[in-house]
Amino acid sequence: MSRDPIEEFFESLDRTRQLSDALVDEMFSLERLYSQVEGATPSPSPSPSSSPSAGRMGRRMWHRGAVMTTVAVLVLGTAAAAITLSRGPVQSVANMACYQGNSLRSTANVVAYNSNPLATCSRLLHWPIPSKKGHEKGALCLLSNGSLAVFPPSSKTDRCAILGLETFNGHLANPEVAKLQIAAENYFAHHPCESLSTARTAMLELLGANGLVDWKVRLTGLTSPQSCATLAFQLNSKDIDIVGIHR
Amino acid sequence: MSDAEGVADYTRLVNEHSRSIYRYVMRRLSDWSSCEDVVSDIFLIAWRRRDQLPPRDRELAWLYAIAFRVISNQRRSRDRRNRLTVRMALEREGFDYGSDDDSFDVDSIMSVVKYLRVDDRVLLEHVYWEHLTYREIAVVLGISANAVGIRINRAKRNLRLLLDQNFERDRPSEILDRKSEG
Repeated sequence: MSRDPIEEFFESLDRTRQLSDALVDEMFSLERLYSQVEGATPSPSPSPSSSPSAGRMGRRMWHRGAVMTTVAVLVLGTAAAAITLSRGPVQSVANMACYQGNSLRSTANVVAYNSNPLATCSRLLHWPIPSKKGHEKGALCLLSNGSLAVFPPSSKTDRCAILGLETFNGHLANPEVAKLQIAAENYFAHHPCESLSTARTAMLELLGANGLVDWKVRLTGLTSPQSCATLAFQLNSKDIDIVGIHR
Repeated sequence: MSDAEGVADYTRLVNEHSRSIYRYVMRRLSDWSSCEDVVSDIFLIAWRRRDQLPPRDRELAWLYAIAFRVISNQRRSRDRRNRLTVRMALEREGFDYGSDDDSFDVDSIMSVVKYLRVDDRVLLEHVYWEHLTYREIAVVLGISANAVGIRINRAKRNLRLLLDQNFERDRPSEILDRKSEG
């Protein structure tokens, strides 16, 4: 049976038809939205349900990907204690974020991931050196996309939990995949406007070299010869997306 | 509604609908790098209006209505800035696809788009891209459901005429397929 030509017409014009949900998630940062929402909230009022606390609470809920009921909100103290214990490995080493303050609202510098994140961020942002007697420590937390967030030294404890984030447990979820991610990021850093086909070949070679036989490379976004290839990792589905963007 | 309930509802709203809103914006903006800012604006407005959140079955249309206005405002201000550019010939029609994106730069399709009335196109986009009902489109565009029905029939008739003129030999998808193969 032939299709409705109007439906076909609009489908042809739909720029998002090749975008997976995972890729959309990669492109839209919920963390940034929550920070903006908190920033847009009026000054605190004396009420216990004032907006800043609502913002923190909301962010925690967002990062957990769950919807808390009002009852759960009322027992937040108990929940916070449970969250404190939550630790996990880095899933994505595409990059890491060095935050200038102890808030997701503070400016973040996104840098290449490495095995000494505190030293890297400290050098980059000129954090004060913690005194030997003091209890100030940098905080290593996990963002919802599985990458590392690094916060400056402070004497406060449980900072990841306060921000609604998991605490980094010091491990990589999958070292082979991490190696692949670092190599792929390195490739794209040195080839800022590669063609999609060349980038695909390079990624296939990297997969082979790292023995990741169950991974796939997909082409998406703009497909014109003038477009530039960019990179997106779909860790759950084991896909490398080569996304064509405007030059 | 308490503030805690408002926050919980808003969180659920974002979790459930952020992808749909992101796609809605991406379909209509040529510059994908600005999509995140636009989506953030939409959800910030939703946050400020969280006390007006409709019942769950109407939430998405409510968000689309906010998105429609944010995008329209953005186009209007950009149009003012770029009035003298040649590209404005298309953008004044409200149609906004990157000129260097040749997967859409297919003469036959673009000629149809150029001659399609803006109102007709906006209505049909909501039918074929977001698959909204007449009642939901009425919410988004701020017109009556009856008017939506009448205008969609007219829009389909107009578009069929244009398509018949432009695609006597080829269907849109075949043109695009050939383009991507080449």
